[in-house]
Amino acid sequence: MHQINDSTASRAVPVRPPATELVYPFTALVGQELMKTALLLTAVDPTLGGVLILGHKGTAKSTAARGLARLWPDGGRLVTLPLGATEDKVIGSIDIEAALAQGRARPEPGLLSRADRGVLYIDEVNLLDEHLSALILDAAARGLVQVEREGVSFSYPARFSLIGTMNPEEGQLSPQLLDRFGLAVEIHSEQDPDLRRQVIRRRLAFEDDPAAFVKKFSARERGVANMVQRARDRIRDIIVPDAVMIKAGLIAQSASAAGQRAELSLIKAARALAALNDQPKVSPADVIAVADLALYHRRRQEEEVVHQMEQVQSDQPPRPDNKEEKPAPASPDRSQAPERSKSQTSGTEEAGGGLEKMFEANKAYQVATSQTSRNGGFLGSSGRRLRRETGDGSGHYVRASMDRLGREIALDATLRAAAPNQNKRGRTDRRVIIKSPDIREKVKVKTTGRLVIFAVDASGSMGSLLRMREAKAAVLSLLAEAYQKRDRVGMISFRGQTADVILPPTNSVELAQKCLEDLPTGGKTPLAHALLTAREVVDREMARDNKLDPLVVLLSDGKPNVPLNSKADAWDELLEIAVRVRRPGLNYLVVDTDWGHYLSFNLCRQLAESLDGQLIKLDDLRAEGLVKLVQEKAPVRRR
Amino acid sequence: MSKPLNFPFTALVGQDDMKTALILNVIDPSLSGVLIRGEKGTAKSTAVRGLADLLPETETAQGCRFNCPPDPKADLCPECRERYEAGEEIPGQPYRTRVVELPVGATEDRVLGTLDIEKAITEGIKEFSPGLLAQANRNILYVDEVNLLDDHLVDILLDSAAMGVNVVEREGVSYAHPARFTLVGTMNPEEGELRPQLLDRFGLCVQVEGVNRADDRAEVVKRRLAFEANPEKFCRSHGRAGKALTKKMAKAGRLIKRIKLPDERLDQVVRISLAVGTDGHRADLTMIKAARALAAFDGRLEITEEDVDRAARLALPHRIKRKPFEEMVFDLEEILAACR
Repeated sequence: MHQINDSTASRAVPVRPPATELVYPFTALVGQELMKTALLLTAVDPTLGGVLILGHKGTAKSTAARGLARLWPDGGRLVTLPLGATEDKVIGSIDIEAALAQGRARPEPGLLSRADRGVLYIDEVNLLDEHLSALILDAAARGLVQVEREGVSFSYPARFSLIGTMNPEEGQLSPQLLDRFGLAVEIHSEQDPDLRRQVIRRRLAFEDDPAAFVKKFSARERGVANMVQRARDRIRDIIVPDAVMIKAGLIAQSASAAGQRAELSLIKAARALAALNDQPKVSPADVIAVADLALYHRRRQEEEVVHQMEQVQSDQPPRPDNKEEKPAPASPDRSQAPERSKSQTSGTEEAGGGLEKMFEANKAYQVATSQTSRNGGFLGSSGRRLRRETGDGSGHYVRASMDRLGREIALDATLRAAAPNQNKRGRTDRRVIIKSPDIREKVKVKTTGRLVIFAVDASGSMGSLLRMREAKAAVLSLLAEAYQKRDRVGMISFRGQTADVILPPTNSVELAQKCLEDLPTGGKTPLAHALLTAREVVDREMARDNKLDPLVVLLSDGKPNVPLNSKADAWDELLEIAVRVRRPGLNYLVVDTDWGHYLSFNLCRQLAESLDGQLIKLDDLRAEGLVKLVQEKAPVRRR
Repeated sequence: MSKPLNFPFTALVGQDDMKTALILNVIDPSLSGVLIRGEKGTAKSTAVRGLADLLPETETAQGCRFNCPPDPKADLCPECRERYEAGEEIPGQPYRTRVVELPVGATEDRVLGTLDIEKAITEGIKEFSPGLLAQANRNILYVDEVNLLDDHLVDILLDSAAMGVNVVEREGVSYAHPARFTLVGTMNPEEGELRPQLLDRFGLCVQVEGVNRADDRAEVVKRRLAFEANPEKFCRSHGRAGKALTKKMAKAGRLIKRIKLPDERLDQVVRISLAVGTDGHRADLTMIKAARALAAFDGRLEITEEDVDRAARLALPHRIKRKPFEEMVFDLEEILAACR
């Protein structure tokens, strides 16, 4: 294995043409002080491990990262990971030209070599292909890239800081990747009107005459660059008093941050701040100032049992019972408020004091747990979007594979494999001789989508109106957040004799609004048909895209009274069918909508068990809770 | 065989929003393109092609695969740069801006460009084979049903459009070349949405419906029939209007640099975007630029409140944050009135 220094290998060619080098100056950024600080800290101490910037679109994340590159000490560079980059170019391979022209396997380091002593910038890092991100992480950790392919084996230095940006609404980051970042900062668009105006003015000035604008800020840029360089030079001399170490430890502990890394980052960041401020030693105030940056992404999540277990302790009036004799409303009367206004109770219902007993007993049942999320923070939203290999040619090409599975041929990799063997094969003219063992196939990945089907009981049982309304609201808001176009939400409603697909799986809010305008309720409960219909819809969608992550959410009180086979007992038949509609990879979530009923809870539990699914009980069915639940349930994979 | 004639832009009935949005992009290309939402058959591609015909003639460097201008000081592709550095004088040849269409099922390598396989296999050399982005340079890139494209591909298109350059690092090649184009995307919202991240990158957004009023519909058919019966005659009859529009757009393009941006207008823009609750700052920038372009098109040096309102209607529809649990009723007009 040989070590690469610049001279022996083909240099990875710097590709950006010089004319486009005018970059919006870092010091011209308006506001966003915390982000700017985080970036400067990482420039002062690269061992901090880089910064993760979380924010919505258009908040100057990329601009800041690119601007930072100009200020990076020791002439380090910012290398952007381009969209559509393939592994051979990122990590390294052999130089195809040398191989083709001379039959030599000349090592060609990947673009990570260009990031050595500098920064690797990854936009939308949460959407990065898993395999590639693992390789990059490995390099970041070791400061070295090792390449073994096409008959060569070499390594090259790649000591880089990572700057990543992401939009928290578009999915989580894997824990390994998350941990790799020393600091994390969440930014928002400027709300102050004056500052906002200044953002516009400056941006326009830059666009109208970039050279002049850059010149205007050049003195400021130089000043900051010098400051950073000086800080970097002094950092090793800065004293970290014991009191500060202890404080850092306490702060890290109070955030329940896992492991030592949090504390280390905290101290290093504080030290870098002290260096920037020309202090001889780190003060407790420095630690406090950087605490949020170092700990934002490291706070431990607490597991929490679903909220209503706690709500049980407080006094809640029991829900009116569902009386079969009550005439079902023919059309939804929107002026009704079915929740708590009626005071009828039936004999079967447990009165107030029995509630505690009932729920204590319920604790023994499998109740779904949910993880809390920091409000609005990046760990709560739509789950992680996994990029998975597709076997069907869709998606984008990330790397080549030697496995012959009948996929598209990766010509570049094939050529590379063929190249070193040309002389052996008796190549006489310029044509390349390719043989079967050379063939490489393209591995393509794409983000998997989720499929959520709501199956809503619209029968005459009490509360169906509310249930429908909440389900509709949940569908619309899930759609509003279905960022990947392959995410789809559909809805089935069941009442009377049948189940109907009232909203075919879609990611279009407009279509949903159209279809969901009138939601009729009333009639009996054909639960078995609902299950079958839901399964059909899932099957159809999976046939189109077998990498979908399907979830069926059944909202019902679990009391079927319309069997498919008129001679069968509705309940027995339901359980049979429930077992039948199971499918590997398909998750079921049963939402028992009938509050306060031991009987119905038990029914739903049995149903959930037969479906091999999970059960949740929501005493007051509110759309927000349902949405959160679905978002958290959806990424669960069954083994 | 001569090129088939396009239906004249000035002969289109109605669809004023769409026409305006396209025109504004010609006047100020930094407006980042147009997203046209609507059903099929609403004259979207007709409009785009028609407009392309009205763009002024320009020049490209002879022999350049990327449509570079014959100007050594411009942003050039590596090949042109090399040629100039070698002392070559590259002659220009006349060129019309055209509409490059993204084919259905386009793959990444087709869009970005890739290793020239033929040259590699038959001649053993590594060369870059340009893709669609190379063709699109200095042209209009038209992407039909952009919401059905692979997200990754849309990312690539929008990134290149924003940066003005296509950086390729894949399949054995490293290459970068200019990719400055106006992106026009169309979609039918009922068939799926674009990620908000991507939506935000489109400068303007217009909703087109089929022409509704009966007389307008009749006029549409009448004109279409006349065009098909005798394209040359029909185009000639609209020639003057077309030339007038070309001149007007060129004048506006020159005027833009002289238009000032007063605080009051910026205030109005900021108030609007804060009221609407848009994320980020692109909305603000687009609004003020569009307002400026509108003023320029009108031949004015002053931007009015009305300009800002009109710009808002074009720049905001696709950036409105969808609030969960509320009806999607949104009265932009109320907000605009309140922000004056």
